[in-house]
Amino acid sequence: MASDSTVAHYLEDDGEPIDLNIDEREEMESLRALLRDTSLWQEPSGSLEDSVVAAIAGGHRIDTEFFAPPVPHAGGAVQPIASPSALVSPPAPYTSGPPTNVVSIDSRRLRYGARPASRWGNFAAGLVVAAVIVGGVLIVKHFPNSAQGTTSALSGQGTLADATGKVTVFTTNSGVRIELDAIGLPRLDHDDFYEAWLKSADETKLVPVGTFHTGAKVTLWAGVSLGDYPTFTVTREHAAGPDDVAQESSGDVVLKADIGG
Amino acid sequence: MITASDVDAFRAGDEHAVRTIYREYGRLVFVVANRVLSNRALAEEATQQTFLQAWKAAKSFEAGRELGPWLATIARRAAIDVQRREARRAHDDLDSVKAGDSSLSVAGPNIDQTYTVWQVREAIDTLNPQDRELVRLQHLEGYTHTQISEMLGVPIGTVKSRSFRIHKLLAAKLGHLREDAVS
Repeated sequence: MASDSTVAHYLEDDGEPIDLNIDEREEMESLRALLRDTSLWQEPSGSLEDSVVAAIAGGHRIDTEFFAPPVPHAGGAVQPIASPSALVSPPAPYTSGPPTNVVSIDSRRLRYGARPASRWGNFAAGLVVAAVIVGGVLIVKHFPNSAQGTTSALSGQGTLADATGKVTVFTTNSGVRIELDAIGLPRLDHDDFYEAWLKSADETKLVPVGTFHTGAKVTLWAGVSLGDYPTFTVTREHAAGPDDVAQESSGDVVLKADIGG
Repeated sequence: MITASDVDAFRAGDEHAVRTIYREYGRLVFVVANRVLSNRALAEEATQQTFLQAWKAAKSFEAGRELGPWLATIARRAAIDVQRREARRAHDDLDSVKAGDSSLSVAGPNIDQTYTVWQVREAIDTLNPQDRELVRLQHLEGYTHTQISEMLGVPIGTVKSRSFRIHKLLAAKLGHLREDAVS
């Protein structure tokens, strides 16, 4: 390979100079300087086009879905017995009349005044009904919105201030299911990854809830209460070596949301 | 050729429009990012960020304006953001880092330098593949005409005359950059 050479050198290759006037030589020298820039000649990988399309498709989907009411999760772990608005308080015992807010029991069996029936049998039936309804109220009160989820907006932080998206939380018997849908997070691979955390209200404790490559359609799980850990964050991480066996948070926060409700 | 309806469809996230605009400008955006970052993987990341930010800002893009300079500006900013992030993450001892390592530099090229590299690449892309390869071998790799003749299996006279023709063509396309630099 030839060493770095002037226009005069390469034009005089094999002793056959090409006549250029001074302006032409300066022109060629300037051009040569521009063309020597290494960054000019590299090509992006073939998969970059698909990555760009996917990133924009994800952003468009979030924009069109962001403010739509969350769709009730048909496969949720907990289903309310009756709609919360109907279950304001448990019904009075049967002696004051048939229960009025039962949705799943045949009302004909509860018309105690319409035909003679065993008082104890009817009382037991009423207790069962009341227990079911109370149980439903307890379930709904302690697992509010478990079927529908609560959505919060994500805000980009630090060097990914333009990142955005939403996070929806569902409280279940197993814990808190967190559905993350973010855009503007470049894919990380190999030893680099994103990690999500829940931060305590006093900001002294962090609970890890999962790691992932990109922010689109990620499901995470938490075994703590959102009342105690109301802040959701995502950090950029690098797989820890021997110096950090606990794989603590890097502190490089890229997304944040308040999800405590 | 990108039309106004392509830009409208791009704003709407239409996949075909996104691909059309990427195919027209993707390589140029990458070159700008690579100029800042000197790292292919990071340049690809900045390229993706550029198109995403362009899409988000597309509603404010005035119809009739040239898309290229606008994208070049976004690409430069995106690349500098990536460069700053990488500079913060670097934990190596300074003495162990090579002088040209991108993590050492946070200033980045200025706007003029950014668009210069865009225009040079745009000019190169107008060449046919054989001419482009000749220019690359001659200027990037530094081969002589004789070596290029042997590598390409083309007579030396043909290499020289083609080389001269190509350079005159590029000089005509990029002459304004020299004038801008002088002024």
